[in-house]
Parts: sequence; structure tokens; C-alpha cells
Amino acid sequence: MIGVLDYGAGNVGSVIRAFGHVGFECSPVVTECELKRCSHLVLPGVGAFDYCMDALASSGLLHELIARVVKDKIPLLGVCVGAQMLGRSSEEGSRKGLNLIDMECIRFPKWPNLKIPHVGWARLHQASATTNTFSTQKILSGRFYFTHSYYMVPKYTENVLFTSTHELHFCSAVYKENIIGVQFHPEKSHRTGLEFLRVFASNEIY
Amino acid sequence: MRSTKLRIVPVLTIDKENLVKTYSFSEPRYIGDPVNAARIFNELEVDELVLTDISSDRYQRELNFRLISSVASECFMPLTYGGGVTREDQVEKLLKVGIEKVIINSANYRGDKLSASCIKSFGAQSVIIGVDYRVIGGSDQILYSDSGRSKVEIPFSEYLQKVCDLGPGEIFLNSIDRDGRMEGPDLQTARYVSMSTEMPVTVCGGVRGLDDIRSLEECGVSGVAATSLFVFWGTHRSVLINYPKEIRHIRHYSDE
Repeated sequence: MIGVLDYGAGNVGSVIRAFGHVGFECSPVVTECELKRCSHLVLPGVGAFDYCMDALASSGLLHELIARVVKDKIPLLGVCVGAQMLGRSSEEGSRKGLNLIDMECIRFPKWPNLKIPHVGWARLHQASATTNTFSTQKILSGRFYFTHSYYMVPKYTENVLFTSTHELHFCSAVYKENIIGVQFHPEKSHRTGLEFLRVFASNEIY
Repeated sequence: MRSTKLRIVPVLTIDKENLVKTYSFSEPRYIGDPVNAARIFNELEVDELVLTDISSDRYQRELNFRLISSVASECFMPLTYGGGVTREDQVEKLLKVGIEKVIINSANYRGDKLSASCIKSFGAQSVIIGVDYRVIGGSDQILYSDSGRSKVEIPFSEYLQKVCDLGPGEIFLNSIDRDGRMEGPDLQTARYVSMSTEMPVTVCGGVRGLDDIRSLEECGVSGVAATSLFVFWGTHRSVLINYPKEIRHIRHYSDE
């Protein structure tokens, strides 16, 4: 079963509905007990970085989340701020991230004509020569919906899964073994987004 | 054909349980069922959808969460809601039922801190400031609240500065004069507002088709919203939910 961490900062309903639409059983996760039963986890995130980190810390799920992802190696998908939380820190706040991937988040620069937040649809570009499970024709030819002012900057290029463009190129998805983080909203990206979720749920390594 | 980065956004206006189309924010004409329209727009893979409740009693009752949830459950794309939002717990509940962004408009003129506190709690990207205005006889833009029912005694440019300082995720600029007329958008105000801010600006009112979208793009706006264009067909304005092919075509390569 796919579990979506329901810690008070994320659009849990849309994610659950999207997985249901592509035929996967998916439920909100509120307790450690529920977390233990999941085969895949999704960490959504809406709002400011510190607000989300604080909410996760006070949910009582943090310890078990790390145990399942680091020790049991079950797949984890971070979405939007949920993806940014996988890193060490963010310019947006002062809280520490989960430190699962070596990266930090920075704000789009103040350039003339560069609209912030970046709101809209963009493609994914494969970041390196190494293919991964998500590099399918359906996903690479489609569009994904973004809404964010900060973006992820991984320290190592091997953690960059996809890049996208908003006047400048930025990292739009990160990965490391069983952990994926996406800046865009697959649950809001029509058929292409649903396909991305289907690939995530159908696999254990990427 | 040259592509566009603009988001092209159908607006569903609801009056009680019905999907309607207004003229200058009045004379609502019955169009159909909002949930069914949302389902069709989802099938057409529109960039985004906006749902606005203009029912005259919307401040006297709770928001129509049942209908909002039904519409949201049809949408695998971003959905924005506006209309009658006065409290933070309403915004929280809207986000929970699958709304991506909430438009806050009239509450801003009452001096309450709703927008600021929602930006703090839910992030700037969840909050859109709605700005409804008229231009009467070549005058400056005049602000209106409560779906165009009450005039606001704050100069347009002064208010715009306030909105910029507040820092929402987007400004939704709605021309009351142009609403439902299909006589072209207000390019002058669109240009003025989008050049005044780094925030994305979505413009609504009067859009007839691709040429207007191109003109608005040159004004620097980020989104174009419309109703008539997407719910009427032909010179007799017969009801047909549609997302014109030429529009679908240009937005497919939006980041290239």
C-alpha cells in the first residue's frame, strides 16, 4: 500500500485520488503504526519550508519515516516542498532538512522579467546519460505543473534526475537509490503526471 | 506556430449550484452543471481551472464545500477557488479538498489580515489576490469589491503597491467592463500591472481568442483567463464546453 504522510502541510487528498485513478491502493498516514504497513511513501509539502519541517517534527512520524526509508529502503517520493525537505537546508528558512540527499534549496534570482514564483507547465529534461525508470517516452514528451519560488541544488550531479527551464535551467527532480524528490506536482499534471505516479508505484528501485 | 509560456485558464462561475456566465458581473445566464464542465475541461487537459462562486448569499453561509469537492475530484490539474473566503480555516479546508490556490479579494479591503496570515501558513503559492476594477470613460482604474457590487475608495496604484508588499503567489486581474463582452481585453491595465511586479499576473475579461492571447503575452502577463471563449460556440453563443485547438496547440511546448 502507498502511504501519504498526513502531517498537516500538504495536499494529501489530491495525491491519494491520483494514485487511486491509476489503480493503486493509497491512504493517508497519520500514525507510526500505519507507516509500518506501507510499501511506498509520499511526502507532500505545501507552504513555507520551516512550517513544513515543524509540522513533520511535531507529527511524531519523523523517526519511523527515516527508519523505513534508510533502513528498510522503501521508496519515498517527496513532492514540491516535500522534495525540498529531503535536503540539508533551504534559503527560505532556518530549520534543518531531513538530510537524505546532499542538497540545499535557493530562491530564483531577481532578474528583470523573471516571474517569481514560477507558476506553470514545463517539460522534464533527462539530466545525465544514465537512464532511469522515469525516462520514458510518455514522461519526457509531456508537461508537468510547477509552482515554487525556491529550487533544489544537489551537491552531486549523480543525484539530479531531471532539469527544467524557467528562464534558467534548474533541477526539477532528484534521486538517490529509493528516494525521489520532484519539484513539480505529478498529481496535478494530467495524464503525464498520473503516468509518473504509476511508474513510482510500480517499482522499488529507479 | 510560435509557442507561448502563458497559462490559458477557463473560469467556471457558479451561482448557487449552477454554472453561469455573467455580463459585466451581472445578468448570470445558466450554462449547465459545473461538475460536468470540470470533467470535460479535465479531459481536454486545460492548463488550469478557476472556480468562482458569485452567489449573492455566499457571505451569509458557509462555502459550498460539497460542490467544490465534487469539482475538485474531477480535476487532475491545478484548481483555483474564489468567492466568499473570509477566514483562514476556510482556506485550510479548501486546500484539503484539493484546491491548489485560493483567491482572496473583498476581505483585503476590510483591513483584515487574512491574506498575510494565509501566505504565512500555506505559502505564497497558495494565495492569489483578486483585483476587480472598472475603467469608466477613460478614467483611472476604479476598484470594486463584493463581485463588483461596492466601489472601493482606494486609488488603484496605491492598492497595487500594497498587494506587491504582501507578496502573494499571483494577482488575478479582472476587468468588470470587459466581462462577457468578448470585445477584447484591457491591454493597458494588463501591461501596467504586470510591469509593476515580479509576481505572475493572470488577466481576465474580454478575451476573444488567439490574437488577444498574443497581445496579452506581449504585455508581460503570465496567465490568461476566460469564460465565454471556453463555454460558447459560434456567433449565436450556443453553449459548448471547448478549448480551441489552436490554443491547445501553442501551449504544448510552453518551456521551449
